[in-house]
Amino acid sequence: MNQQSPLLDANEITKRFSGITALDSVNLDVAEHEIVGLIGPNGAGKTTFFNCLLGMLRPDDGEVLFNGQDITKLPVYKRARLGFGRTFQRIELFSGLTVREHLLIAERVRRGDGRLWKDFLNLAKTRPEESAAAEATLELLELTDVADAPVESLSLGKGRLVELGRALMTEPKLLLLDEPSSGLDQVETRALTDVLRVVNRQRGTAILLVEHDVEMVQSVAQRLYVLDFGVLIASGLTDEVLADKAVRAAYIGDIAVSS
Amino acid sequence: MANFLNLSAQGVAQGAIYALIAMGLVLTYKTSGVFNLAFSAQAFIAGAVFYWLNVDEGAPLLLAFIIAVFVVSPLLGLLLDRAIFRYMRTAPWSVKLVSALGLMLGLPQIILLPAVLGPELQSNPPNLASIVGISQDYVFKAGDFAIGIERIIAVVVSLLAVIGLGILFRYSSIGLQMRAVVESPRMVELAGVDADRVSAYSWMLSSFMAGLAGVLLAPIITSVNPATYILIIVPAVVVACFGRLSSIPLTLAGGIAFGLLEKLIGSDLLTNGFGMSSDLVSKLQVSLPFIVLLLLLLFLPGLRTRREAQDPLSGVDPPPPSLAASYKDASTQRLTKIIFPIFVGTFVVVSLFWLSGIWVNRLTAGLVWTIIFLSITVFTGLGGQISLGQTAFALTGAFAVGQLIDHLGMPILLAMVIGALIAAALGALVALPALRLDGLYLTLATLGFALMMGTLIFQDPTISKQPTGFVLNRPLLWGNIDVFGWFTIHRDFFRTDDGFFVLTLGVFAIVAVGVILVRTGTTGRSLLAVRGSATAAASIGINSARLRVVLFAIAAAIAATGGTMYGMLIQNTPDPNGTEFQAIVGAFWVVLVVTVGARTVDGAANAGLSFVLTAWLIESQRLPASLQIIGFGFGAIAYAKHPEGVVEWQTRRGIQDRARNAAEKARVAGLKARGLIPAHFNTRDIGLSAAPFGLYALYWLADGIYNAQVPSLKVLGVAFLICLPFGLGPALKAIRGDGESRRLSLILLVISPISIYVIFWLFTAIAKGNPPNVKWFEAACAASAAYGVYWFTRNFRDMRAETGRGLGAVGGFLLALASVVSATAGFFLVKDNLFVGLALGLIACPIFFVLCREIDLMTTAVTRQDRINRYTGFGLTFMVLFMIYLRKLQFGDIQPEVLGTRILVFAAIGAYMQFLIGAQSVLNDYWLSSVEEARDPAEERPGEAFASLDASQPVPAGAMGSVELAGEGT
Repeated sequence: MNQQSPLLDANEITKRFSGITALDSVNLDVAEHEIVGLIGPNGAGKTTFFNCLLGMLRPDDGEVLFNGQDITKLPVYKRARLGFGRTFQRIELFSGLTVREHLLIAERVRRGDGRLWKDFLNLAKTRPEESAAAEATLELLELTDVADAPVESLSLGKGRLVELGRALMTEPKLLLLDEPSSGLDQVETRALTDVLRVVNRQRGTAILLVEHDVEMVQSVAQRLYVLDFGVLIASGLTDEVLADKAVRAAYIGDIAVSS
Repeated sequence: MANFLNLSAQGVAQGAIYALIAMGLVLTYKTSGVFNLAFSAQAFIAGAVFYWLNVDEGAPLLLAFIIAVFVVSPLLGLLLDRAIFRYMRTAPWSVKLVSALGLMLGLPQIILLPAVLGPELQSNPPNLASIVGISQDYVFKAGDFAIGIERIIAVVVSLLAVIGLGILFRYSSIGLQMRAVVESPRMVELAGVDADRVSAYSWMLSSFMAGLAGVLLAPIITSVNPATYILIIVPAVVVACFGRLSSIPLTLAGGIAFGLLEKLIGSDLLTNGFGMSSDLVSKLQVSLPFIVLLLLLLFLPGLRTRREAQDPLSGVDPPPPSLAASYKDASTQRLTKIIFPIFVGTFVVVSLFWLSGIWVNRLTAGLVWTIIFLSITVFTGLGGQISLGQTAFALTGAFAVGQLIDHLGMPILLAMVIGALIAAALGALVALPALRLDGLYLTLATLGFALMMGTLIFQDPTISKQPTGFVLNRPLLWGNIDVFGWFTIHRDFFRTDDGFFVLTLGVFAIVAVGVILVRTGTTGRSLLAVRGSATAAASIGINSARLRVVLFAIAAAIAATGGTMYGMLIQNTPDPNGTEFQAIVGAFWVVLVVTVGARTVDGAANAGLSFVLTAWLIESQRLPASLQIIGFGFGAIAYAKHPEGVVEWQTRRGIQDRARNAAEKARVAGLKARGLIPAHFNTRDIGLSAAPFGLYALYWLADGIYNAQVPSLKVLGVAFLICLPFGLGPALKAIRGDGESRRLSLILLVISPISIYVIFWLFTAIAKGNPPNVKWFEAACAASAAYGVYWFTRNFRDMRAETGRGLGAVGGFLLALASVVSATAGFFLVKDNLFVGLALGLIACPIFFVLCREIDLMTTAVTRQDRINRYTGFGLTFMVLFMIYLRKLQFGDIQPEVLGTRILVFAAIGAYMQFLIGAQSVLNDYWLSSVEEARDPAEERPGEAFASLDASQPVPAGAMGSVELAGEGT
């Protein structure tokens, strides 16, 4: 494990929903430049945990540190400005806007100069460097040919890439991906995995993947956490965790039996 | 104590009716997702019918009751469902809400038209007591306690109805189906339920309840007038919210509790018990519903966290279209860039130098309204929310300016800026508690806010100086300004009509540019993002709370600016109780702007100008002023079909037509080349059939210029002779045709002799020195118009055969040109009178616009070329009719009240709109076809266009069927 203070450090996160403990003292950390996976069967509390990290839910107990700063009580948009980028399990795009507009909005928000008076002075036009950044992301994600299409016309796979691109435009330090491969076919999943590796290598973005698809996680994640019924049952290097007996029993075993 | 009891009993009766109405709201909300604000209008209609039948027509009470409640009301509900709301089940909340608002405003006015029930619906409506043999005036007494029979009936009947509804919902299968339909009509249909039928039942049922409430309410509020009825919706909304828009028992309890509260607050409890001044108490009583509504919305957790029911299968709906501008290619953009400045420049120059004072005044008023409406453009078009509270901000601005001038002696323009800032601050302040509200609930909160401001704040003389208001003088310049010795701008330039027009135009330009900059800037894009997905917007760091505050502030500032400008227009602060700025009018503003187009500045401009001009038109025709509300109210229904607004839709359609047209032309040419389409009908025929009217118009104008008297009709006869061959020619050819063609030939053969007869008659009459009765001329025109109508509606398929590069198009173009010239000439000639018609047509009248386009859609789905011809023909014909009408009006030949002339006038204006579109199409077509030729034909993908065209136009069996197949091969 990384000896420096980690980029993201979630300590003892507990969340209850009217009596049911969805998360019970879960600890998780992500170091810079690292790809970490969080897996677990359906209903294990992955998405709840994810939402606690992002501020969509407020944990009942525990704290979330980002770069050493306590962000447990920050609203979602402030976390985003600190360097959180995310995608959604059910894709959330800005309906009616084109792919390029998605990226440009994200870029503008990142720069944080969206003051109203600038609009009035017509200083809000797209600047060349903004276009260039958007263009680079489009190329990275191979979205150039659909750049000016409204997002409604895209397939689910492309839509997910747009989400990823939008998150990347905010130049996040940490990407949180909620089941990025759900609804994608194998080819699309592989393409997505490749993009994630490139992003991680070239931009040094740390990635936390919540995933269902063990194969996909195995191919990218350096470390793994396994959740089951709101409890962390294993963590460590990917291969070691997957070899763990308890994990196999709780999770992988099922798959082995069923397949 | 007895007083207390009496008030309680009254409160319970009132509350029972509130509960009944609230229940109806809940019923339609649950089953069709429509928050039916038109509910009170439905209640009013039942009440009015009941009153009319019993009092005016002398029908027995029971019969009147049965007809009003058991027949008229359910039928009305059925009609609303079948005609409107059925198509909106999966529409967004805003569409449903605006349509309901439109109906709320429009429905009662229809009933009040003199031609329907007339305005005599005022005092002492009967109650139902004598049905069961009790006297109308029976009062139950026990000691000091007394309660009238009408209230006892209200309580009993309401309770029965509510309980019945509860049982229906809980225990019957139709009740279950009703609840399921709103979740997802498509899913319910998959489960084998006829969703349409269920929805129809629930609308009939709720409308029945509305009718019941309407009839019960009348004797309690002792009048049947729409203003009182409409406002009943507010307490009903309060009660429905209390029941969390779902619970029947809670709604009932809430209704009774609210009725009690309302009555008891008026008792001496507060003045004696708490030492409050009676003035304050009475204000509190009036604004109670709005205060409670705001409190409920803000603090009832079950309500504000409630999500709008979303159809799980909504993914199959197509996405909303983007702004028309995004469909434009380079050439169209260039065209816009050239035409737009020319248009604006012409508008300004014409207004300043040629128009008479009255026109400048109206245009100024239109621009002022445009400024106010731009606040809705921002709030709704950009922010995606609906505010019914813009009246409050407009008034805030005006009163703030009044105060600043009175107390500080500030120059008015500076005060206007500060007033706008004050309103912006107020807007931001209102936005803060409303941050958690969204959609429908935010809209209701803004309504509550506006009504509260209207009844509490703006009535206060220290704030609004009511009843006189503040004097708002237009600004003075610092001195006379000498412009290079050419001319002098006087110090009081802005106080003249022309000067104020310039000032308004300047303010409008600043606001409009501001709105456009915000829309294209970061704020606008962020707003679009939040509108698209609030969660995703937050995930990239957009602070939607701040945006909401900014949105409120901008919209409030714009409304305040507009309010101040309006004040300067009438040189006084607007009256908060007048018809123009009272709180409920905010709903009309929204309906108007949203229908015409909430997303763009020209949408707002169209709304503003047509608001003023239609009112003027109606006034000039001495028609009931309510026609405007009815027209725009029902126009809101078009919003369901075109949520982007009429103006936007038309623009986009025009752009999209090009692609269709190109494909269609190619296909038709192919078919024609192989002789598969009969080629004997020619666009030039119709162009030329319209020609006599165009020529007559020109002659009339020339004659008018030199002689200024009723022109000779000789020219008309000559013109007819010229056109006759073109009418007879096709007719003779058509005899050899089949089906359609044969019918056409019959018509032609009938019409042509009529034309000949008319001409003969005219000539003899003139030769005898006996000027013809002008009615004959109208008949001739009407026949000719009918000919045109018939031609185009029945024969569009043959019309399509014309590829549009021939004489017909040139003729159409020339005619369009001629009529533009004659229109301009006419405008020089008789400034006010003729120009009334032309300018009204010129500056969009959206109602006619919608109407004509809908007719157009119904009759054809054809090429641009067809439309061009039809518009030109129609337009010229009707334009001439209209000119004649005005001419005759001028000479006092006819009275404007005659129904026939009214129809004529409206038809003429509508058709004139068509003509303008046609003329524009001709211009565009010529411009664009030259562009198309320069383009690589490989870019077009005709195959797709064919497929869609073929699918949208079923082909009759027979020869054409094989044509389609053969056509595919090319």
